[in-house]
Amino acid sequence: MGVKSYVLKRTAYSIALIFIVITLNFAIFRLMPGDPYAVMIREYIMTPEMIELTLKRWGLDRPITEQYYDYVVNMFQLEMGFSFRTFRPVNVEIMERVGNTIALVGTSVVISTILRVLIGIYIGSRRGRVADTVSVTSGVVFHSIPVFWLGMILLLFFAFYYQIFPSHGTISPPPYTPKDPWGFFVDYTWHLTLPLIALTLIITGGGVITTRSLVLDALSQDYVTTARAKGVKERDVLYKHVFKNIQLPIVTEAAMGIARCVGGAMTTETVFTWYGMGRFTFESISNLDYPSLQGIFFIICVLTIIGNFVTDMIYGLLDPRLKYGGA
Amino acid sequence: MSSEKVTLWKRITDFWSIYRRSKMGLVGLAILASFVFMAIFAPFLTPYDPITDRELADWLAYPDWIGLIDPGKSNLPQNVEVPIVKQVLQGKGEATASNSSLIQTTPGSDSLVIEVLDPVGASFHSENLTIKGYFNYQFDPPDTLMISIWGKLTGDTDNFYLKASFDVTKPNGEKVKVWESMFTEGFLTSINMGEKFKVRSSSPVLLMRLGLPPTKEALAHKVFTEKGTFQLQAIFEFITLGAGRPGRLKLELRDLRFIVLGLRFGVMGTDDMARDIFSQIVYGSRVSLMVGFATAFTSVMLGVLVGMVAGYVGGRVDEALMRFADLIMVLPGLPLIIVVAMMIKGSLTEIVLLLSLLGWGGGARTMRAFVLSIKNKVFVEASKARGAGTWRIIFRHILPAVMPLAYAGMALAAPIAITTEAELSFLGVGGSPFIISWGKILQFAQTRGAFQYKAWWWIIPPGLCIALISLGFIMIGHSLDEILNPRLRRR
Repeated sequence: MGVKSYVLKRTAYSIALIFIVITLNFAIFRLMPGDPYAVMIREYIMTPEMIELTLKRWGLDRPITEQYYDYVVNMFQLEMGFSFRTFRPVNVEIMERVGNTIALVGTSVVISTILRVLIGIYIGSRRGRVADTVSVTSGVVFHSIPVFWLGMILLLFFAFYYQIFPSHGTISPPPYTPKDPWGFFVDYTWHLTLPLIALTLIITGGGVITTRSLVLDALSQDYVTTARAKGVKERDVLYKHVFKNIQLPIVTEAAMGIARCVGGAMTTETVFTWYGMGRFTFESISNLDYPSLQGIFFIICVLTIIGNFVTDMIYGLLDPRLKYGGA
Repeated sequence: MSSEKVTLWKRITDFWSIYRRSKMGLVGLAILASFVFMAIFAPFLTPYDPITDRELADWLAYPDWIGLIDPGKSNLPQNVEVPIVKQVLQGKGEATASNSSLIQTTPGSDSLVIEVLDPVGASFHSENLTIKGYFNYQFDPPDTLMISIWGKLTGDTDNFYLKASFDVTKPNGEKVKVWESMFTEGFLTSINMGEKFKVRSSSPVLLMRLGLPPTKEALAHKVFTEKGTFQLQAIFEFITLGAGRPGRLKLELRDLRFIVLGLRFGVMGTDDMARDIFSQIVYGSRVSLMVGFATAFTSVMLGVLVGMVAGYVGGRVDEALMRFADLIMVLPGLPLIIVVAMMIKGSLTEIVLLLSLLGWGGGARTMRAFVLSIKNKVFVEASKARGAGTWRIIFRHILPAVMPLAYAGMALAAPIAITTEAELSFLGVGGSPFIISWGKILQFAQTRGAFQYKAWWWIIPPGLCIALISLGFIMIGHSLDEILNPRLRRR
C-alpha cells in the first residue's frame, strides 16, 4: 500500500465517520422522547390547522428521507438552527468559541506529548531509581484524579487564596481588556495558564507510564544491544534508536489524548469559565438548549475525527513501511 | 457436587496465595474494601441524611478539627443547644408567673402545660410568664444564633393575644434583646398549628427591628462579647382582649431551645445549606461504586462477547464487528452521552447502560487478539473434533480461558466509568436530585460559592475520594494483570 492509497483510504474513512455522526445526531433527536413533534405540538392547545401549519413550517410533514437529506446538506453548510437560549444561530455561537477550545486543547496535547516523551525516556533509562518511582507514582495519581477537580483545586489556591491568576474568563473584562495585540496575547495566556496546567498534568500522567513501558520494551530489544555493543553512546541509543521506535505508539497516544482532552475540556472550561465549547455545553445543558447541544456534539465529533485524521497522516509520514510502499 | 465446590474453593485460595504477594494489589484491595464498607454501612457511619438534613450548624462551617491546622480557629464555636423547657422540668431553670392565681404551670413528662384564666373577660389586661434557663459558653463569638419554639395553643384563642420575646443576660449583667414575636412573622401561625417555629439571628428583618446593621453576625457578636454563664429569658405575654366573657387558654410548650450554630462541625464541615458534607461523601460512595462495578461488568462482558465471536468466527463477522468497535472508540463519549442523557432524562441505570454501550470497544479488541492466540490450541481442536458446535466451544472452552483477562479489564474499566459519571454529575447531567454523588457535591461547590468563601473542605474531599477509588481499582487491575496475563509475567 503506497502513500497515496493510504491517504485516500483514511480520507474516505473520516468522511464516512462524519456521515455516521450526522446520522446519529439526526436519529437521536427523532427517536428519543423529546423529538421535534413532542416539543412543538401541544394537541390540547393547538387546533388541527395550527398543528398542520407548524408541521409544514418546520418541514416535519415531509417524508423522513427528505428531512434527512436536508439535514445532511444543512450540516455540511454548518446550518445548525437557532439556540433556544440566545435565539442566535448555533453556528455563530460555536464559531465564537471553537478557537478558544482549540487553543486550550491543542496546546495541552502538544505540551503533554513533549513532556511524556522526555520524562518517559529519562525515567525508562533509570529504572528503579528515585526519579522513576516518583514519576510512576505521580503518573498513576494524576491519571486517576478527575481533571475538573484538579482545576478546582488550582483555582482555589492560585486564584482565590493567592490571587496570582484570574479566577474566570478568557480575557480581562472590557475596561481592562488590552488594546494592542501583544498585550492581548499576554492577557490571554495569563488566563489560559491554569486550565492548561490542569489539562496537561492529567493527560501527561497516564502518558508517562505508557511511554516508560514502551522505552523499557525497546531497551530489551536486540538492536539496542547491538548499538551498545558497537559502542554507540548511551545518549544516542536513547534519543536516536529508542526514540525512533517509540514514535508511532506515541502519536497514537496523542490522538487518544485529543479525544480525552475534548471530554476533559468540557468540565475544565466549566470550572474556569473558559469561553469555549465546554462552557457552552454546560450552559446549553442547564438551559435545555437542544439545538446548541446537537451543534456542539457535531463540531466536537468533527474536530476529533479531524484530529485522528491528522494523526494518521503523521503516522503515514513516520512509518517507513508506508513511505517506501512496503507492508 | 461437593468435589466441584472443593475445587472452586481451592482455586480461590490458590489465587489468593499468589495475589497476596502483590503489595500494590493488597493496597488497592484495602482502599476498595473501605469504600465498600462505607457504602454498605452508610446509615451507621452518619446519623444525618445527606440532602434533607439542613441547618445542622452554621452555613459553611469548618471541619471540627480546623484547630489542628489553623490554631487561630481552634476555639471557634461548636453547636450549643440549650433546651430551656427541659431545664425547667429538671429544676435547673425556672418558670415564674406575674400572677400565680391567673397563670398556672404544670410540668408534664416532656412539656410544660401553661393555663391562663380570664375570669371576667371585661377589660384589656396583660399577664406574663417568664421562663429562665442557663448555659455556660467558652467559645469565640459565633455568627448565628437560632431560637426554636415548639408549642401548641388551644382553648379560647379569640379571648387572648400571645406575645413572646427572648432576652439573653450576659455574665456582666447586661441584657440583650434577641427576638420579639412582633418582629417576625409566622410565630402565631406555627404555635396555633402545633408546628416548630424557628428564627435565625441573621434574619434581615429581625436585625432591622433591633436596630442593628444588616450583617449576618451583628446580633450574635453583640450577645457573645464575653465568656461565662449566660442567662436566657423567654417571656410569654398573654393579653386578654376583653371579649365580654370569661376565657381559658392553654399553651403546651414542648420545646424551647436556644441554639448557637457552630462554626465548625463534623468531620468535613457543612455546605451552603448547612448540610453535613461527611454524610454526602459517605452516601456518595454508593453511586460511584454502583456505577464503577455495574459499568465495568457490563462493558467488559460486552467486549468479551464481541471479542470472542469476532476472534473465533473470523471472516466477515470479524471485519464488521471490529469496524464497529473502531467507530465506537472514535466517537467522543462524553458529548454523546450528554446529548442522549438529556433526551432520555438519564437515570443512573441509563447512564450505566450508556457508558457500557460506549465503552466496550477497547476490551473487544484485546479479547479478540487473545482468542486468536488460543483458538488453535489443542483443547479447542479436541472439542471441535468431538463435534461440538460453535457456541458450545465459545462458552465452554474459550470463555473460561478469557475470563481472567476480563477481570483485569473490569478493574481497569471501573475508574474510567467512575470519573465519567463524576464529570456528568458535575455538568448537571443525569442522576436524580434525591441521590447525592461525589460529582454532584463538586457541582454544588462550583455553583454555590465554595470559591468565594474559600471552602476547601467542600472542594477537596469529593475529588480525593474519586481519585482514591480510581487508584484502588487501577492498583487491583495492574496486579491482576501481572498475575493473570502470562505475557507480562515474563518480565
